[in-house]
Amino acid sequence: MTTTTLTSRRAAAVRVGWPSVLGRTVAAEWIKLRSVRSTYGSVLAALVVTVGIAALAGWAAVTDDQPTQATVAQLAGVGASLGQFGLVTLAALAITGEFATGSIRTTLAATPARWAVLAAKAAVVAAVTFPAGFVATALATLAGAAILGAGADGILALSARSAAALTLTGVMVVGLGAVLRGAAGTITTAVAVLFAPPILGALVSNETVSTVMDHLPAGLTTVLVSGTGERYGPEVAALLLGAWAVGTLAVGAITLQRRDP
Amino acid sequence: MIELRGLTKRYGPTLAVDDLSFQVQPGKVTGFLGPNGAGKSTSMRMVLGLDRPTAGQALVDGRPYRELRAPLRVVGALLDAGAVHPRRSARAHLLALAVSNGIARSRVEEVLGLVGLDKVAGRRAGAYSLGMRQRLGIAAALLGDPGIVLFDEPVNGLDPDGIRWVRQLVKDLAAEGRTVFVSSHLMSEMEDTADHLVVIGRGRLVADAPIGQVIAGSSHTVVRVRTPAAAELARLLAGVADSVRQESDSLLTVAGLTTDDVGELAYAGGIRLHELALQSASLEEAYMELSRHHLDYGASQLTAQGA
Repeated sequence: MTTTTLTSRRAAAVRVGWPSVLGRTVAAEWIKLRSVRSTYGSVLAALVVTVGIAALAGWAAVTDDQPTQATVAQLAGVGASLGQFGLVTLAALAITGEFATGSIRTTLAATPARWAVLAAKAAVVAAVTFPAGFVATALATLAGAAILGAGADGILALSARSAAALTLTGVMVVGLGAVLRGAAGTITTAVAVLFAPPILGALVSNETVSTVMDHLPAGLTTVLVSGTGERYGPEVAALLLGAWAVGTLAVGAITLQRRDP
Repeated sequence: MIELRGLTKRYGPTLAVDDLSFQVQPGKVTGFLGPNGAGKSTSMRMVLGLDRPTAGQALVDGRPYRELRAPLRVVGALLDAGAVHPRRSARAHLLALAVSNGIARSRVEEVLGLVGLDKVAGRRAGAYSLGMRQRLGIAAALLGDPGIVLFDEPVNGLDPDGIRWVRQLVKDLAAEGRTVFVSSHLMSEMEDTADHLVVIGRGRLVADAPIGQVIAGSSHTVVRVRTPAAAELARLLAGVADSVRQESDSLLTVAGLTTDDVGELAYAGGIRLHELALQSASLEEAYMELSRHHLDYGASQLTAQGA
């Protein structure tokens, strides 16, 4: 605690490379994400809803007087489309929770490179949403297969595509949260972005409108999870969804950089 | 060292911080005084790179804060005690901060012990009293063993023991050669802690001087003279003193002159004195007077660098 050690420590502290800054920030955000209970609640909710909805839809399909042609993949897809809101909540709270509690000032004082903070948040959210989405979809597929009495063919590919869609959506929501700052606004906007286009698309049969719909995150997610699309395949859908995620995150980073917390 | 150069922050039509320039030197406690809403917190947030100045700049050790890549090892700050996630434990909060700046994990337990929170570090911060959160904020500020410390209203919510502890801590940090900058809206708080004062009002610099000079410069710092010839002495001093008040037949209070001045003048005038004493203003009085002058004339009344 003497002046000489202070000076040498300060000198050492100044020479830190960007990879190191980013690595430290990711490690810190990981500690933050796993030290709040809402993280576990959100993941649990995503698992329960995804599997529960898939099972419920499967049960409805087999007990219907006129049995529908529901496939195992469709059941899992329906489950994931609702269960994803658990993970959307997780992603939203990772950033909006900091604004709500004022802890964003502590965070940004510790890491003045705001882009690094947002990138690290996106990274740790992705590190949770990918495995959570994968497990949820796989369990939903198994539940659906058991109820329909069908095989669970392609379960790994399906779970991976679904997890990828959920992860990219999560990253997008982190960016959205950095722009909107409030949890309610962020989650509501995410719900609107993910649910409104399919509903509108079902009502409107205009070629231009449906082309636009197919390039919005909701349409891209549908293609990515189902593995087939009319205009493009799942690989292109994943790339386009990734572009939405990175673009939204970039807008979030610029907003965070410019506005006072 | 902290340096502000023409620092200005405008919120719409309101000028929260108006062309503020001063330096905070290492090795002493600098008190940052001003009424609530004077711009203290805004200034501190700009020093920490949180709020962007409308004009001017703030430097820590000669660099803008935003350029620092491990800032907690250079500057430690207690901003507001609420800046903690209420559902996270104190230990996890500090651990995340330590990791983000490459500070050894063992330092977390050290600072928890230092502020007396080691027994309750596993509890979530939302369950803490204001005083405990204040201690947690101080622990976070000390985490990186920084050479510069900024405390915004550190004694808020603390009990008398806690207040004594903060005062001693602040003095110790300065004695170790650190730059210590502590804000308060309570003048009495600074009286026995600060070595140097920076006073602002309505975002503008009112005073930047050693605490002794601020008190000596106050009109409430007066010379008390007891003499059988009070009226005669009053006439004699009227031309040279700022003010002379006759309190009774034999008692005068004189502002704007030292005891030496009064004694010499009385001797020269052949007036016998029975008592001659300096009656110092309290910091509170000195401060109130400074702010009043400042509000009346909108100009800085006392500015002396360094010392």
